[in-house]
Amino acid sequence: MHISDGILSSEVVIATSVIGVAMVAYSLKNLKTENIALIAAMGAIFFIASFIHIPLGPTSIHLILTGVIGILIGPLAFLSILIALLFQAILLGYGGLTSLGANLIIMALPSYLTYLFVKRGYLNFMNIKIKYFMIGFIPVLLSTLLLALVLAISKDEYLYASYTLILANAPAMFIEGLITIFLINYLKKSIPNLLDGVKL
Amino acid sequence: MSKFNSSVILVSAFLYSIFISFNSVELIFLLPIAFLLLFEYKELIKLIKKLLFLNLFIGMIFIILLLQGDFENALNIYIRTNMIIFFNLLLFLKSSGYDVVRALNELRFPKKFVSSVYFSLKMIQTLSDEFKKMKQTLKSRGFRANSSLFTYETYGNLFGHIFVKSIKKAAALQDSFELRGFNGRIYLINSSSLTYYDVLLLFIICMLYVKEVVV
Repeated sequence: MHISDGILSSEVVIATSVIGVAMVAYSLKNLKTENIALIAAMGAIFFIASFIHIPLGPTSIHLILTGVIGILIGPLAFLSILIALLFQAILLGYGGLTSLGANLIIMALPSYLTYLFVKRGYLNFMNIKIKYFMIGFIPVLLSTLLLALVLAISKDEYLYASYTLILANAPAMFIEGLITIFLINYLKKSIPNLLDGVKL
Repeated sequence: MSKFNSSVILVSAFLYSIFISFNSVELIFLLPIAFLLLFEYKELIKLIKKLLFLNLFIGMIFIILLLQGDFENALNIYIRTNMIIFFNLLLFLKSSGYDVVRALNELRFPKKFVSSVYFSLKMIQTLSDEFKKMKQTLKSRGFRANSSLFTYETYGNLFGHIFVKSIKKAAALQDSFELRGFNGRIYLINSSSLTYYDVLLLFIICMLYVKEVVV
């Protein structure tokens, strides 16, 4: 779900970079020295998740885990994910440097929004398992929609690519949701008060 | 170790990416790539293989533009994207990531940002090792991943384990910070000296900008 350099128009690159800088500045403003280790850990998980391929019929997908990262670190996810994206672009060639702002919006904004949804109790009307599922499902859905939107805004010719990407990522949303149910259950069993901050 | 200064590598990567992203491809844009290849020609096959692997997303965009009959635009985007990736792969071929931290420090990025990047890199190394061990364990227990609920449960627990490990490691790191009186700043040895190679690389990239303005 990373956009490479050279794909986006200059207007979109400038706009997304400005928004990206603002998001990271917001994270840095909220960052206390005692949280540096935690955001480093979450960034590392986001980075490593891209190596783990989950089978899906004849093909495979990889998780992004931005929902769980979001509920654990909230607004600090912008900084954490930016660092992971920077390393992915530099060391692995995933994404790019001019598209860093766009990729940050695509990945980190859904993570933060999921945190807000959970913290403000917007998902409380749901059954607990469905709620956990949504914590995995929502960020992938939002990231896919943002990816499609960024591409469509960038060039009219990318409209079909946007539709294709939405279709291609649909199974990933469900698989991420399913895996998140088990993941959050594991977290709650291992560290019961870990998610108290978001009343989960 | 790369022949180039860390800051020059990072700045060059940004300058080249920005320049190529917004211009139609010309033969002269290959000059910085050719310059870097003088030092890394032995790795050419390895780099091309990596580039091909990274072509999935770009290939999809290329095919969709092609199907819309926009051959020139499709080819232009395809080539320039691959040029940027190839240039960056060449630049960071010998990078362990710590040179990026050093570059950010030399370029006066906020101290908390530099510290976060440094510790993220440390965590990436630690968790990668952890993940390899867990993969080995699953393999030795005869686990075979497929599209079943059992597989997803296993992955859920595996990621849960990685999260728990990383949170505990972060807490331990935090404790050691407090003991050492960490105030959000890490101290790195700066190697600000520039070599002829650095100057030449920057010169070639800047010439592309000058050529674009003048011609």
